[in-house]
Amino acid sequence: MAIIFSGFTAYLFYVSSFASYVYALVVLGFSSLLSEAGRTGFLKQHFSQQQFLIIRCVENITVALPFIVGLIIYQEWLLALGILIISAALSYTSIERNLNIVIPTPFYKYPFEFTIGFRKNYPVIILAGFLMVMAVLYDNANLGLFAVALVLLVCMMFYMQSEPVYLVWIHALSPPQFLLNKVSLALLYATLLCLPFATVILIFFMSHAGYLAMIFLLGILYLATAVLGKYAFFPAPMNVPQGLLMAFSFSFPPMLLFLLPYFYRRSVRQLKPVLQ
Amino acid sequence: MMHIEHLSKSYGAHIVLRDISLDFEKGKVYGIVGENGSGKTTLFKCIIGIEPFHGHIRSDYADLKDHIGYLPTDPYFFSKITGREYLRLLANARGVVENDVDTKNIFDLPLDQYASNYSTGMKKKLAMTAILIQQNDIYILDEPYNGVDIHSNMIITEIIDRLRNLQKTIIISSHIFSTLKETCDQIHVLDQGQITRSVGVQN
Repeated sequence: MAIIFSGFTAYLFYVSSFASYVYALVVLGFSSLLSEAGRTGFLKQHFSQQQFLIIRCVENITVALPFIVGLIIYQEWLLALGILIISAALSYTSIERNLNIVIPTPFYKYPFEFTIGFRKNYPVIILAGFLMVMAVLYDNANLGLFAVALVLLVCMMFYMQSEPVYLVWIHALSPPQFLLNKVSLALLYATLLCLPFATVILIFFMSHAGYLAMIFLLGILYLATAVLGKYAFFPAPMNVPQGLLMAFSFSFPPMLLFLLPYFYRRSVRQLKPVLQ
Repeated sequence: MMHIEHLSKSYGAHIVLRDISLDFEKGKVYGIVGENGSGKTTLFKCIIGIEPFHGHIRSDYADLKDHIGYLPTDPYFFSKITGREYLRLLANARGVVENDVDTKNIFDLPLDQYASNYSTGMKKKLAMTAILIQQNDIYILDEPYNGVDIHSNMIITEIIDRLRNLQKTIIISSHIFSTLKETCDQIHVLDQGQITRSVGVQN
């Protein structure tokens, strides 16, 4: 993880002079995830107010710490200090919850992974949009392609959480139909989410259309793998060996040729007792 | 309509349900009453097919599971999903096209708020509304009256009566006998995993 993070940092600071702001947005996104109502409610029930605030503060600063170190290495002292203060401050409040806002989503018609995932990860999508604007302003096609990859990566994250058996049982579908339904919906919604980004690349960086197609194709293959991976060990969540297999496939994409059918067969087997 | 024959369930050496045989007919309301831990929820999970068991369940339907609406004791809701989206999720799952959920909002729930922020009673009412929208033939309601206010209790009783008139089969559980007396045609007492008594209430 440390190597991936260092590589991501080096790449980001290499391709954009706005990398430090990207960092700040990512930290805010993570802090927003940690202040999710369910988990803060659980913490409040089990700890005193003082303990709750300390736990949340430690959580936020722990998440922000690698980013702060990255900013210090790149001599962004003020921003590093700013992120530290904001992270600590955010542990005391959740803007979204306090205002009782329901984040609008284009994925409301067929809930639930994209509906929930979009609402939980919208700061990262905004960040991708910001990167795309920067890519156009500074004529940096690589940054634009990175934004597309980031969106597809976020879509994969939507499928990391396993649902209770009941929410699978309710479907009047056989396991292959259920999986086909899930995968096709994921691909459709991911395509919709990527469409504005892809359009910008095709307008401003037409010469990079080939790279865009390659990133998109790989992205949807990884997304399909993530969907099938979610059910491969159902009802248990994704385990460590499975996570390692997925992680390894990122550095060696041909692994997908093995992973996709393997996860599919396992998913059908795991879903059979629930759906039939 | 649905027949349970010699159903037994155990977790390792611990036997939860012993040799249960029950018949459920169309247009009837059945109660399963038993103290906490008597095996009511496990029996329901076996019937709907999410718990493996020994024995047989026979019915008129080849795909029984797809005709059952199940109300869990403690319905689970993900954060960041609204009441409206939850109803849509359950309708979609059964292939029911439902474009106007507002007219089906019998409990006047705030459908555009996150369901995870609802109170316990509101969550139960939302889950109940969802299985009604699915238009099932068999309704299995695990402790439907628990955590729900008196007015909603009356609405639930009225819904059950209407479902009975529509020739649906309804199975309700409770740990209090008197709760089911008003509603059920027959009540089975479940004690330590066994049906110890069956009472035909309205006969």
